[in-house]
Amino acid sequence: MAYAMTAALQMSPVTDRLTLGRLGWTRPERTRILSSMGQDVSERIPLRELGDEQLVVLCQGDDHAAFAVLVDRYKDRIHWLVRRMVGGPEDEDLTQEVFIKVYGAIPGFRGGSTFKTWIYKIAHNLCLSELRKKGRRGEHLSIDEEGDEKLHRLLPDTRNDLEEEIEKRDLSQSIRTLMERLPPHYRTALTLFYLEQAKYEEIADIMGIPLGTVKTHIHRARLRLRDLLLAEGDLAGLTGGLATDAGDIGGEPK
Amino acid sequence: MKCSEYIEWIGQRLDGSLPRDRFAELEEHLTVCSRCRAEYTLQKKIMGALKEGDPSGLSADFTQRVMARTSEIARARKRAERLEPLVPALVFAAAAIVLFIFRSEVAGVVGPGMDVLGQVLGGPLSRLGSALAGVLPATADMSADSSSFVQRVSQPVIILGTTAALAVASAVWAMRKAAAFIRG
Repeated sequence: MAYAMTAALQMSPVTDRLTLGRLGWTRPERTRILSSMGQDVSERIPLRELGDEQLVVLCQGDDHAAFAVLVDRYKDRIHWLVRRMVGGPEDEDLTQEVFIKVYGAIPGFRGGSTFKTWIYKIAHNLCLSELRKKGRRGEHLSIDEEGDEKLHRLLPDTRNDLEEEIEKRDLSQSIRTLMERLPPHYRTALTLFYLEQAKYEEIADIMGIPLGTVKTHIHRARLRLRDLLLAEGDLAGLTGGLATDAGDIGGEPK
Repeated sequence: MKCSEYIEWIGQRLDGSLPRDRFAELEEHLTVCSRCRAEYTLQKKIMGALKEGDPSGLSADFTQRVMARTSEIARARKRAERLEPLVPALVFAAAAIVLFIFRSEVAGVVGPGMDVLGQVLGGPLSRLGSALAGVLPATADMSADSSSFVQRVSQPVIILGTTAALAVASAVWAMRKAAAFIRG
């Protein structure tokens, strides 16, 4: 029975307490909404197993438990993006602001893009706004995007065990630290592409830039990170200097 | 072609954006160049590290805190929705109060209009009275001077009656909405 199913749609004592308050929805209403979306409600389905779009429709019907599921689902990923874009001690507060903004805007969400793209877009815009504030206060420091993109440090060509040496190094922490030195749009593109597994098209939509620019950002950002790693990171000792077209660096294959 | 150029190609190959006609050349170079093989390993390793999600570091009660705030927002929104119907009632009541306070000024403005109204209504009322007198003789006395009824009623009384009715109706409406709001 449909109503029996709804009894199982509980997340936690907190969300249950919230949703059972005077907030304008009832469990039969949740069942009705899900049925109207073609969801089979004959069996018990926990809210967390519903798709984003179904949860969004429930949220638009004032279902707070559904919103709590979306928060649980996206909080870490949004936090990663916020932390990598803005950093600083206020990243948790900013992540919270993202969800508050999402909550305020969700009644107007019409599904023009996926919920994932939409929430990242909100997070991205909020981070940009925060960065602008920081910029005004002179707190934002990052290397200039317009640096020399073509000159890369070369690995030394004299070590036979170089491949193994690189393979065994743990570069994660060093890379996270060095990422803070990239411009915000490079950090965003890298985070969305590698960490959030977003497609090029989605990143273009989120960042509001052309598809080709996204590809360029990702490519350049990763090479810039590589150069920083060789210049100042864990692999600084391995570097063989900056490669140029002149001289013998980067000449014949070894 | 120099190794420094292959650095770019390796990056593109790992991104999936290297043109296919360059695949073979890159593969061939990688088989003979240990430095570029190390380069390939390095860039692959960087990609792997970028895919790793570091520990979130969010407070354990993050979701609860967000939900507490959204609940406050939802309650404020509901309050605003319930208050919305009160607005026309309050405007109406305020208009009635203003009308009552400035009734003499309003009477001065509306007075001539009331005279015209009396003259316009006088004829039809007189005819209605005559018709009623014909049907019901008992009403003859009442209707005999109905033609002058509107003109004889004092204008301040009409204004006062109208404003009082408006004020009472508005007050009742506003009180009902306020009671519903408090109950809600």
